[in-house]
Amino acid sequence: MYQLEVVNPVSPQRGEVSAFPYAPRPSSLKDKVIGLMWNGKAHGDDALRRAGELIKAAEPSVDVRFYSGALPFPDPLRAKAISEIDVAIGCTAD
Amino acid sequence: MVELEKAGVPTVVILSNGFQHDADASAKAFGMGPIPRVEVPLVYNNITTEQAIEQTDPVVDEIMELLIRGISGEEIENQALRDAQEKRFVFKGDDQFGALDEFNKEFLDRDWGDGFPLIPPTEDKVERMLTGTTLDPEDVVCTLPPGNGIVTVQKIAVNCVMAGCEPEHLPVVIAACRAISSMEPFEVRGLLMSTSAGAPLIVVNGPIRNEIGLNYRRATLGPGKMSKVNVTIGRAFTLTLKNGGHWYPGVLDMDTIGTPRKFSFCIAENEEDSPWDPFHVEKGYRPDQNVVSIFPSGGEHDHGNQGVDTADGLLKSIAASCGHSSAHIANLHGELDESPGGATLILLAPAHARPIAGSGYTKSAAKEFLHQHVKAPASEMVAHFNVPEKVRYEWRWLYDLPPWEQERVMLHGQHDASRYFLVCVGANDRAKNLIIGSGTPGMAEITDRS
Repeated sequence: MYQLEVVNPVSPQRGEVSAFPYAPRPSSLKDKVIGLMWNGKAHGDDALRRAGELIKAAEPSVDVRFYSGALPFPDPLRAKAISEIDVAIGCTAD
Repeated sequence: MVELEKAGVPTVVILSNGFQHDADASAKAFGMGPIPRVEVPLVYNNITTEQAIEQTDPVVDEIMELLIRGISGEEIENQALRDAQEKRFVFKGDDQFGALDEFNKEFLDRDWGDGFPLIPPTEDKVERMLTGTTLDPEDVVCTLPPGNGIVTVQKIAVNCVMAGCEPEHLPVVIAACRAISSMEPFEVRGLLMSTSAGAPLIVVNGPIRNEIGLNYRRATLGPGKMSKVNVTIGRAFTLTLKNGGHWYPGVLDMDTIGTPRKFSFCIAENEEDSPWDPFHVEKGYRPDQNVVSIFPSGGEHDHGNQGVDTADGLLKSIAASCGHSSAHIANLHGELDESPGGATLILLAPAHARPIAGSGYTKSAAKEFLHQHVKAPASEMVAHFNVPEKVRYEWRWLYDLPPWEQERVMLHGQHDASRYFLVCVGANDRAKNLIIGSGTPGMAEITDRS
């Protein structure tokens, strides 16, 4: 029987070395500001606007705001959103 | 979305089927656990507005629930990530060939290779590979895209062994890693993570080309004896991007069709036969410095002609083959992005470069000539990029023109002359050139050679 020992070629990802916790969730969406974060890909905006529309219908107290971003999301626009919203919805589109 | 979650904003992503691994590995790359998401069956980019709405409606209740409840935090299946913690693997066989077969079967099943048989990275072979650099094996070289792998010298050496490199090749692959990690995020993510067939091209400049036997003349991009060094360095870089940067197909590499350029794509500039300064000198390095440039590549087009023997004729012929992209009229990278977007890399054969230079064209004059002659009607730009909301402000008027006028208005193929890169490569006799859709290259000096 022959034995071959080899070294692992795979590096750990940054998230394996130090992962941060998820943001604390609100107890409800009542009076919350919802950010729709569009990455600019075709029809992702349609999906986000539709989701915002149905959430507003289900919970009329929410304030829905649309952010026309990019991939990656521009820093200034992301900072603006962070200062204005309570929760966010994104969409991969492709 | 990761940055929002990190800033304390709860998130949910509407995720199209097929992008689950991509989303989770991307989140892991930026320091987050599994993405809070709802899943829809179709990719939005491929469907109509009506279909987009239709497939979104059923997941809205789940979105609302996830925004409040979050996810349970259970580990997502990701074999590659878990295995990163194991240091060694042992394979057994009736003889050494049997063990070698078992090694290759297992490593290729884990997608740690490129499909071809690998050289086993035994401790001895890795130690020998490390003699090619003066760096410490545990030195962190960079955070390697697209998965932000923490890549050490030792991990690069392991992948160089698997590719068939010699120790003197290791510093080139280390520099290639540094170069690609220095690229702008939108550039490198588009190159490695897109649904397009992007692949990084390694271009080596400086004396090291001759010292390690890189081929920069005939069939520099081809297989075989002449290009063995090119092939192995290119292969080592691909394997390092996979196992170091987690550039696994279907996980972070979402290429729709794929390309053979991903197996190995490495050249050196033919500085000896070029009439102009080499590329690295044009970018501010000294001629005696050894430099790796990583160019994005989106495809290659062979350019040839018959009976064209003047400089203007050659440049016009090349311009006619350059094509165009809509990248410089789009602002997919954000309203505030001022990067020019898009570029054309021309691998220019010496037998074409010499008569062009001989007629008085500097490299920059040749690029300006190309810029003035590569044009396309606005109708073609509009046809390729039909998201008017994501067109740069200065070009939005194009979309309001009637079709006949869109046919008449001619646009440059790139933003300006600096978006044409000329690298002299290839055999020194009859000339054919390669034209490659590209972007802004990342560059790094090759250092710490033994």
